[in-house]
Amino acid sequence: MRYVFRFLAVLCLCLPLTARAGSSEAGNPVLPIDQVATFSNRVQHDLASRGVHVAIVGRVGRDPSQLPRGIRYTHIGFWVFSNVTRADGSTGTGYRVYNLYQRGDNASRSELIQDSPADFFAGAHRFDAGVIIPDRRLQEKLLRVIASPTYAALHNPSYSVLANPRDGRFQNCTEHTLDVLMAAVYGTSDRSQIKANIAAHFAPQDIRVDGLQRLLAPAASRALTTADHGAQVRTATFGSIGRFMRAHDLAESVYYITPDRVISY
Amino acid sequence: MLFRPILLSLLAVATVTPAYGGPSGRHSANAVEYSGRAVSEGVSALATGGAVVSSAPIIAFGSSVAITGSALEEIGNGALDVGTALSRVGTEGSNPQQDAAPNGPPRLD
Repeated sequence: MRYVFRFLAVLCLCLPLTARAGSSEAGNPVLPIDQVATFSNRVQHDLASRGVHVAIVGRVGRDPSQLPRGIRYTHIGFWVFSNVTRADGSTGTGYRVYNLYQRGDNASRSELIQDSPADFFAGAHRFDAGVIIPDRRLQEKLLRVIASPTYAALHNPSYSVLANPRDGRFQNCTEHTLDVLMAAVYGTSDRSQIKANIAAHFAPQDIRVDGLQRLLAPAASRALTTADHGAQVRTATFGSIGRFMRAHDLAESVYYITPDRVISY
Repeated sequence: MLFRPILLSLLAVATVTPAYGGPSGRHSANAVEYSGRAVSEGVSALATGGAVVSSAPIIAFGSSVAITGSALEEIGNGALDVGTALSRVGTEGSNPQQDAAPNGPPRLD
């Protein structure tokens, strides 16, 4: 019996390493709300000044010191230039964010949520936005997909923090973004075709997860499953999507924004 | 005899739970913190009139792109909106057939 408890203790202590590789977590707000609004406006104005209709934007949703190597942004979504109407009747034009979010009441499930730029950054640990601006032609294709039933049809609500983008059993925010991107590039809503193209042309980010962590993590949360992976755990990330888009001339630019700088990758 | 292992286990569980519990909520859960809205249920509990009730992508390329009016984030009440659930359906956990042959490398031309 004592070994069982010791085993459990070791198990629990091992797991947080894996959890931090996640893609869509939200923590308690850690940044002042007024600064969140200011920063989200800064990102909006930056995109507008470049004439962007659709961009992929990432946020740092975890303490960066705790993130696995190769991971900088833990959540990404499509920012779509839109007409906005508020409940008080006021209107405007700006960006709305199309997200896949892990559900708060069930960590192994997700749903598609549209929110504001400030919502997007509310849980950020740092004022740092990763931005991928797709080629103008791709923006048009993306708009058509996002505004179509394909966008929701490509959603798989079975959530895994480390979902394998080449496999359809689980999905996280980066994988859904990649699926939508591939649907736009290849003009298809066929999931099999999208997965085949991802397997052939997209290089996901390697994540270092040792065997014990892989074995024990699902006991703590089903969202930590790696059942859809082979020997090596690989997942889609902001960085790997950016590299893929640059390698195939699908991106106009890739950069990050802080409160006082805009830096190209 | 079992006291130390049990204590260790409880301590570990207590330590680990926040690591999952906090971040596991989707990002919109922050809106719950600020505005008292239960996003997933689409319930609005804050009557500031600031929430976005509708939005539509602007499809016309070549039109001017500028942030105007209510799209500017306000500081304080109304700065954060309730999220809009786009869909609760999707393609449930099934693995699509992997027999499709891949197309060539992506090109926009």
